[in-house]
Amino acid sequence: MTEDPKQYVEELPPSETPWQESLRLFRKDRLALVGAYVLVLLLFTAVFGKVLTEWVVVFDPEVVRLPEKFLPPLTFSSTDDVPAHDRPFGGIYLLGTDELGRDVFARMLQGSFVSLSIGFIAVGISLAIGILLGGLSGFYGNVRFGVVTVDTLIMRFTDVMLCFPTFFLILTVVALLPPSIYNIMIVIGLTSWMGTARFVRAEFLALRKQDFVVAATSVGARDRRVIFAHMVPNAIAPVLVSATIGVATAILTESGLSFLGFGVQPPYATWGNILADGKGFIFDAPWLFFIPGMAILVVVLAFNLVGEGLREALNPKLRRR
Amino acid sequence: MVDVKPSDGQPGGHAGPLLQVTNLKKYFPVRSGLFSNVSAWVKAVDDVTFDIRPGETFGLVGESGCGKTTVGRTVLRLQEPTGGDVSFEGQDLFAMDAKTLRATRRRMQIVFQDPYSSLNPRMTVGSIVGEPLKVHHLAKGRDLTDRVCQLLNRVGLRPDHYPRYPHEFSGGQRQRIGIARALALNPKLIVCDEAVSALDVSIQAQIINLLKDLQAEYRLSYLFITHDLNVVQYLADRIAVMYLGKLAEVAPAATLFSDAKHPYTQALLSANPLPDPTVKHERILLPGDVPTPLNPPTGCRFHTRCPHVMEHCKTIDPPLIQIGKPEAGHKVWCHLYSG
Repeated sequence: MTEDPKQYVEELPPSETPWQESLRLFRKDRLALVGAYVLVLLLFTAVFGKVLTEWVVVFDPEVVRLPEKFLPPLTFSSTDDVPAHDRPFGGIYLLGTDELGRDVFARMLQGSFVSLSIGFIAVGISLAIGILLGGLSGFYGNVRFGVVTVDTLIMRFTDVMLCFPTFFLILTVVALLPPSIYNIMIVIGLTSWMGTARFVRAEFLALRKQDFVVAATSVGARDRRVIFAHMVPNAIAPVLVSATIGVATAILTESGLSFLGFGVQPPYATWGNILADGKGFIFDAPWLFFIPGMAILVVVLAFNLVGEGLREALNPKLRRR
Repeated sequence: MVDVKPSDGQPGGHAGPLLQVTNLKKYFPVRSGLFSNVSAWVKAVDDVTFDIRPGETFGLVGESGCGKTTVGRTVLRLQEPTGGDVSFEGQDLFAMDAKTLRATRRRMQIVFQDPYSSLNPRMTVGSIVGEPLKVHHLAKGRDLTDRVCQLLNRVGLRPDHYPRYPHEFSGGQRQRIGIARALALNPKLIVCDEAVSALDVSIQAQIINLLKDLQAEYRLSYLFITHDLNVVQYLADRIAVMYLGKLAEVAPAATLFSDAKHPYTQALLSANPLPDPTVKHERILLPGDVPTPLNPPTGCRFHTRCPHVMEHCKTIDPPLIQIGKPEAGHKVWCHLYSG
């Protein structure tokens, strides 16, 4: 050594992993944080909703009490009209009753689990397809099959899928299939992977040219290692963002389907079919559409806020603040 | 330092140059139309021939876009060549199957220009430097950690930098990490692709000194690709000047700077700023711009801008001319000296 090593060893600031840094940035974003709290609350509601409406029935969404129909929120159940075992928990209708005297609060609880599970599973399916096809296209895109490349094949198929008006495609398919919550999840998943595929491909194309990926090849790493150790961790951030917003879209789609009567079938409650039932009584019982409508709005908004917050926090260009 | 010392002597009894590049060609297709038909070729590297001896620093200079980076990457077969041969320690690199190539890559490494994009932002310094050892199953567990720490030490970083992430380091420190990664496998040849160009001058000096020390210690050969004449003058034993995908002149460093023959080399040297502002030197100004490699000029590629252009320069490729004795190793591709 021609020089003293101490000369250029500088003291570094405290260590921080890239994920820790993103978390720190995310915490600074007030709106996104509010969205995140709403989502955590929703998650609890959904899980408790499932448990309390179906397994340990505390709130029964299916009890019909015709004498107590169209009660506004926060009304007490009158003991004379309803048999004791049909009365709501605590004797109060927190969110009122509908045209059959069913407890709207219980129905909303049941619906929250449906909405959330449809959102997550549909997005899971669409991510799996999107990442697989996008990754193939981005990494092995130059491989040729006769006159066309893998890239051309996959991306033109993606374009074709994008040409269909998704909602009407889903409507048609759901109308043909037996109505079940699983079919709806699968169909939404199968028709919403195109965006993910496109930007996973774009990320992969950009990453493949990056020096650190070339470096991995030059030290002798195999394709598998290059893809999973170097490219996927760097491509995952935007996928996460679009997944978050994708959940919101899936929830909206499910609500739309249920509203039109093609979704989850009654008596099973979802936010969409509560809304649909309520639309006939807008002037007599406004809470019947206002409550599920607000719930959908708040949840979709929360997912979008969190998505936007993640986008900001994970953006390397906005780093070092 | 244990383990990291290279074996002495030539493996397999191979004598002669470490790396022999013969008529290397790399054309990039320009695709257009519905079925991506090739409509034109960019001739990034066209018939480049040179060799690198063990322990030597071979400088490759030229302006942006002349194909020097492509030479570096093709020589490591990070890009597939269009034509020509590269033999490394006597083995034909382009004929190797994937397995042999992976094994051979242990002996040839690359250091990149941009210290910000050459390190995976989501990996710790330790796993970046240790990756080559892991990939080739050369060390694991405690042993791996020890060797990585030795490497970090050797390039002037501290072992406690091991768990940190690349974004926490300065440009010079990142370049040291890149060098440690290249050193991990005990290579014979390191391609330094503009390895100091992105650093400021004082850091440049530190990295250059580090490279020189490592060369002396491990008997490394460097293919040093740069546009900075001062750096190659200091570092290189021999220098090749490249223009538009072809070599213009190859000479020992001292000869090139004192007695450049090719008009392009002369112009290039005259553009190099001297440290003493009072010394006036004649500037050779070239007219026009570098022609596009999509459609390079016929004959000598430099004829469109050459101050000494002759009629036959425009049609006939310039031959290889030895200046002085062949042992002197001064070669120039120019019609001016063919008489």
